Amino acid sequence: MKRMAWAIVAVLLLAAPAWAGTTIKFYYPVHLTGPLVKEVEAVVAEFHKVQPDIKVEPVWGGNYAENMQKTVAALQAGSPPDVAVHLAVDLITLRDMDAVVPLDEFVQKEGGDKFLADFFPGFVSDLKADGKIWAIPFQRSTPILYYNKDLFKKAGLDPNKPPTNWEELLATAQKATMRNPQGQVTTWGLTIPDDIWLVMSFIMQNGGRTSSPDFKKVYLGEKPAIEAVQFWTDMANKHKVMPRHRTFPQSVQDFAAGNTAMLIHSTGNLRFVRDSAKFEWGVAFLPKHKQQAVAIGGAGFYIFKKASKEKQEAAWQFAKFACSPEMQARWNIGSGYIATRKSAFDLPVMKEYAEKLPQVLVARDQLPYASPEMSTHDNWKMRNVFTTTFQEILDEKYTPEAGMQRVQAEIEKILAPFNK
Amino acid sequence: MTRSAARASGSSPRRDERRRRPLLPVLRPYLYLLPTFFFLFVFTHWPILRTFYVSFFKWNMATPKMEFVGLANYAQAWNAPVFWEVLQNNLLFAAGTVPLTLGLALVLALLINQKIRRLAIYRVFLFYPTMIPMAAAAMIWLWILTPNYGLLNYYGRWFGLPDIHWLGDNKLAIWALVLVGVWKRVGYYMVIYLAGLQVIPEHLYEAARIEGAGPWQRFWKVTFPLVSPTTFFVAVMVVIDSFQAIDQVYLMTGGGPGNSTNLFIFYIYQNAFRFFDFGYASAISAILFLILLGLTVLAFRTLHRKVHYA
Amino acid sequence: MRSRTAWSPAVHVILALAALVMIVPLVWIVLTAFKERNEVFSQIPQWLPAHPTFTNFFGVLDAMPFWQYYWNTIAVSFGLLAIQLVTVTLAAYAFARMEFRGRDVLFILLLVQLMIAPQSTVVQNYITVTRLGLLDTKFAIMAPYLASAYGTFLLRQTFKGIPKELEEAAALDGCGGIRFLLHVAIPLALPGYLAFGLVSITYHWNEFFWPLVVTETTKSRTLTLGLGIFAQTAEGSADWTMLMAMTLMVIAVPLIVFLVFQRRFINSFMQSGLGG
Repeated sequence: MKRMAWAIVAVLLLAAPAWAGTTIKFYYPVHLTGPLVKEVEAVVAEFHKVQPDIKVEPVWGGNYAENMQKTVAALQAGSPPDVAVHLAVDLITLRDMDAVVPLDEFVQKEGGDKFLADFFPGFVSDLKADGKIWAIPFQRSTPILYYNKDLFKKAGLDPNKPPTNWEELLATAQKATMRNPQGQVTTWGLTIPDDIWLVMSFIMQNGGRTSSPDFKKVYLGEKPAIEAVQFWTDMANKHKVMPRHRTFPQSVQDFAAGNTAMLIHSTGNLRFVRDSAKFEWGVAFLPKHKQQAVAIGGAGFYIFKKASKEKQEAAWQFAKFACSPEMQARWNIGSGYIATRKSAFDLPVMKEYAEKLPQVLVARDQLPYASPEMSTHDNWKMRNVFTTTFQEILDEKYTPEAGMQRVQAEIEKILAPFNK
Repeated sequence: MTRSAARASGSSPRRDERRRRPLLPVLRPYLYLLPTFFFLFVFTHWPILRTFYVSFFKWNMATPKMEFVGLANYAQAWNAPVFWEVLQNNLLFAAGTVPLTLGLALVLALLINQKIRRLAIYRVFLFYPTMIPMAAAAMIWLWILTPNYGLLNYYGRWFGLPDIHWLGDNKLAIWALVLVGVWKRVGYYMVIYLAGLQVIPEHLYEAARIEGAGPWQRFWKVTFPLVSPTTFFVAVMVVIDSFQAIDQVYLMTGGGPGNSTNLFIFYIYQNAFRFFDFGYASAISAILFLILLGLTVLAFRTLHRKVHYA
Repeated sequence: MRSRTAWSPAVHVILALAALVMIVPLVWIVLTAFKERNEVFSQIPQWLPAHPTFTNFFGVLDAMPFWQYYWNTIAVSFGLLAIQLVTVTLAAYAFARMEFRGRDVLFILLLVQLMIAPQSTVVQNYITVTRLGLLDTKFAIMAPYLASAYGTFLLRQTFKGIPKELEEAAALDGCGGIRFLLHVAIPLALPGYLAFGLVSITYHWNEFFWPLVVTETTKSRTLTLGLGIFAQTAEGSADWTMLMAMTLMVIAVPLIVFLVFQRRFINSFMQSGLGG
């Protein structure tokens, strides 16, 4: 009898699969301030608890550009990740490389349109192309206006009345800029990093367009774009209320250190500002001009074609989990990125947080005015041309008009092969 | 070659060893060179040839499969204002780096070479930047050059200077990079000069002193001429080095603001790894090879001059 | 030049100034590494930390697999040197002491590597490495340097210095060919090996760009690359004290080794100029 028992045990042990689970490789970027690598790893850890038969191997890939470069390198080497977080504007590049699969089948199984309806429409629209959906939104943001209430008070401004339009923005910045007896600036009234994502919002607020929905054209040489750039450069060069150049992270540092009264930057920095600022601060909508408009930034989960059906399924489970209301609420609190699910804001944890830090709701409230950011074929090359020429306009190498028309001409050359 | 040696060499000729083939002694040098030349071919010669080859093809986001286009990539470079800006930046960078590095290295070497006590200790302080990565030097200087609370601006304000955003100023940024490069490398070139100074025969100075030459004249009549091959060699090395500068560009300015600090290697990197345009990047690499080749031929000519003096 | 006691203080002053320019940045970052994060944002210079702390160093260990980077760097530098010693010895010996057809042509082909810096061939080498399936491996970081023209050059000089009579005498004693190489030539060339070793290890320990191109994950990332990457993150560029702490952690060991063996290091680098 005993022998039989041992035999049965032996057979059972041999028959049991060693590791029945699936392992998936996950590339993700961190582009903003704050301990975001930790936050992403926490999401992965939570997922492992919920789905122990799927193992996610997270690989932090640097900022958006670097992470994209890693994915492309991996694609060229024939071993791409199974799932990755990439910018919405990388959609066209990934499709040009035929690297990713549409997610419609997965979405259908979750309830199709009903499932998508819980996501903010603005966050989903730029992930759709050719009638299919290619990614689900994970970390989305818009620019907002951060302002230092203590510095406002010092400058004689009402700390509860941030500027609401361009004229007020300029006037406020002028009052808030502090100079020493030698005339050098000790506190800037406003800081905006010279990043074109923010330029896009200014162009849109001036009633202009940036790129066409078919990714083939840009409208940067038109009057609204030129005027927007003129306003920006005047603030830096004519009125001198803003430094010419600040990098994306440096500008947030400056605000947290109290060196600038106002900052226009991504809402995704909220957690860092909350942790670092030793003064009273608030956030507000971006000051409007002809209209209220902001560009949506950020990224979503893409699933790669080369992954096996099994891995794609596992990747979907992970992506779905990370974009669930609970995880999105957690992610929002941990970073400042806007939770991509409407229902996330109804969760008690979110409501509690919003009571302590009402600033967290401002970006969400700005969403009705948000539209997709600029995106074209050969996106990174196009962006580089736009960025460097914009910086040269700030350096007064070109006038806004000459510079923007140069940008337009250069980009048209880049897009020519795609317009054949 | 004795049989014991043949056995000891460990190689087994294909044919019968006992027949003492003359093949082995002929093959031996080539066998010795094989490992080196194998890796050399795969990672030095082949890439150069292949780079020239690929430079005649379009291979980018618009053309994912290589397409022969002749000189189109070179024409694109010719017509690209950024390319000329890069070339100009590199020349400016070299023009700044060479005299500063040479001048400082020579002066420091002359001073340390004096027969005064306890000068050797300075060597350590002056040489240590050679031991740290350029990336670390970039971090250090990034911190020191920061506006508002960077060290340089602190003391600048003491002296009444305005806050300077070194790395954010399209005229100054390149000089900041020159500064970092010189700071890092001057100790190394000082040591090269020291070696060159130490071979100058003492009796030449004696003779000059006897003829009544003062220190300044001794320098111009004896030291400088005898050290000039080193000078020329170092100058060319520094120029070649400056066409290969990348670490500080990548880490401190990213080529900006605008393209004011975009140097060759960074330009190649951008085009290959950010814009995924391998055809164009290869053409730029090919152009760089030709420039480096020209400069190196120059360097090797001077090595011969060095030999003469030794 | 002979000394003149009148010059002595002047020389000291100038050299001291130069030394200060070199050393002050190092001191500054050491101090910064021990400060609290927000302490550095004051507009007035603070040299000494108000509340010295080790938090930044722990922060670095927390933020990345620092010890993995360390191991990778050691493996790459020393592993590469080990292979280089073999390729370089064989090639240098052949060029120095053997007669064969095409020797001069091959020598020039060798020199090509000195002319063309590794930076210019990155794109193509990256493609080669990818095609070989070696992307993101420590071996990929070593690959372009497995043959070393510089080392071959240096050792060739050294081997050339061995008198022919010695070789002939040894051959008579039955120690010819490879025996001679192993038992006589290499031991005699130890100073050359040391010089080459120190230069090679230093160069590869500190290398940034090529590892940047062929490394994708922390699996093969080296210290210097880790430092650069960290600086580019928003976290790294916002947190100066942590960045300076990491810089210190990366350069500490090489600097200490240098301080102990400075004479050897300086002499090795001196030779690199004459050797060409």
